[in-house]
Amino acid sequence: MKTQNLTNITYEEKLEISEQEFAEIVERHQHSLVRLAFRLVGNVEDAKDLAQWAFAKLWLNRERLDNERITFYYLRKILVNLCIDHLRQQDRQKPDVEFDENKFSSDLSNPQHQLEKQELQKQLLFCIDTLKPKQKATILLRDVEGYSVEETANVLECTKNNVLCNLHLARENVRRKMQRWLANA
Amino acid sequence: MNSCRDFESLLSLFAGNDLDIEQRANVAAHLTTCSACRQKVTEYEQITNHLSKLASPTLPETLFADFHEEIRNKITSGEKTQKQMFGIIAVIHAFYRRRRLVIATATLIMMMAVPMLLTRYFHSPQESSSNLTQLLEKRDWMGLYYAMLDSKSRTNFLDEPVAAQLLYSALDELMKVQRQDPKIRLGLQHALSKIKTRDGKSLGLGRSAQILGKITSTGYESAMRLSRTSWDPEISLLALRQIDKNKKMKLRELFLKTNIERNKR
Repeated sequence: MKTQNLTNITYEEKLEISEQEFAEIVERHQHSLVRLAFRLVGNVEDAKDLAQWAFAKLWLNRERLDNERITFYYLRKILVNLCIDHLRQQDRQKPDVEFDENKFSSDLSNPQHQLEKQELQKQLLFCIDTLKPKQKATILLRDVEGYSVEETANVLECTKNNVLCNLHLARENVRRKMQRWLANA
Repeated sequence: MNSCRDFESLLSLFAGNDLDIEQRANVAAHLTTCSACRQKVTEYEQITNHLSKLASPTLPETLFADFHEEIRNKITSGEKTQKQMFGIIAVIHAFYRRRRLVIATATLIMMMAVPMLLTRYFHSPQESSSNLTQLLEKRDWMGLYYAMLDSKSRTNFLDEPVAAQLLYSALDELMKVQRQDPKIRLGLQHALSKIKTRDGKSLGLGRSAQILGKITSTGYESAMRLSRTSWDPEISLLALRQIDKNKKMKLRELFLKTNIERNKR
C-alpha cells in the first residue's frame, strides 16, 4: 500500500475507507442513528430506512472522510437533513396533527420506558412532534440528546445564533402548549 | 435593557444554560427583581429537565437483522442515481466546453424566433378581436390582409356567413382602392393565393393575380357587359341592387365560384 505521510493521516486513509472499515462504522453507529431518527420521525420503519440511507450516502461519498470524529458528525448531518426533508414532506401531506397515544409508546415495551408512558412525558413528546422540523431537530439534539450548541450547529450546518434562535422558539412553543394542556387537564 | 420584553428571548436559553457569562449575569440580575420571569424560567427548567431525562427508545433487535444487506441495496440504487447525475453533469460540461458554438446557435435561433413571435403577438389582437363582418364594415383593408395571412383566421373568415350585400359592396370598394394602391393590391393577391380550392390545392400567386384581374375589370360598365356573358354577374353594382337583403354568403363560395367560372371558360 503506497502511502504518503501528511500530519499523521495517510493519503490512503484520507481518500477512501475499505469495506471492512465501513462495516465497522455501521456496526458502531447503527443503534444510535436509528434511535436519533426515531426521535425525529416517530416511526421505527422510517427511522431504519433513513438511517440506512445515511450510511449509503456515507459510502457513496467516502472520499470526504478524514477521521472518526468527522465520520460521527457527517453521519448525523446526513441523517438529520434526511429526517428534516422527510418531516417536511409529511407536513405537506398531512397538515392536521392529532394526538396519537400509540405513536409515543410504540415498541417501548421495555420496563425502562415506563417513564415515557407517563402522561406528562407523552404530552411533552407530542408537543415536540408538532414543532417545525428545524426547531424539532434543534430541541431534540440539544435537550434530549445532550449535544452542545456548537455541536448542534455543526450537525444542522448552521450558525450558533441560528441554533439559539431555533432553540428559544422551540422551547417557547413547547412551554405554551404544555401550559394550555395543564390548564385543560 | 430593563424591561421583561428585553429578556423574553433569553429566558429559555438561560434555563438551558446556553448563554455566555455576561448575558447570564444580566438575566440573573433581572430575575432577582422580576417574579414573572422567574416563573417562566422555572417552567423552562422543568421542560429541559424532563427532556434530558427521557429514556432512549429501545429498538427491537430484529430491526437490525438485514441491516447491512439493505444498506447495500440502497448503495446500488444510490450509485445508479449518481451515474445519472454524472451523465447530466457530463452533458453540461460538454456544452460548457463548446459554449461559443452553443451561444452562437442560441443567439441565431433567438434572432429568428423573436421577430416571428413579435409579429404574431403584434397582430394577434386584431385577428382575435374582430370578425370578417366587422372588418368589412370598417373597410379595414390592412386588418383584412393580416387576418387572411394567418391560416386559422383565414379559415374562419372564408367560412363566415356575411350579408351578401355587404360583401359585394365592400369588395367593389376594395377593387377600386387596390387599383390606386399597389400595396393593397399585392397584399390582396398574396392573401388570395393562400386560399385552398376544393381539390385541396392553394390558388397560388399566378392564379390569384388572374382572378384579381378579372374582378378588377368589373367596373360599372364592364359589369353590365360581363353580366350578359358567363362572368359572375353578382360582382357588379347593377347586380348589387337586386340582391336579397337577407341573403348570406361565404367568401369561400365566392372565390371558388369565380375560379370555377374561369376554368370553364
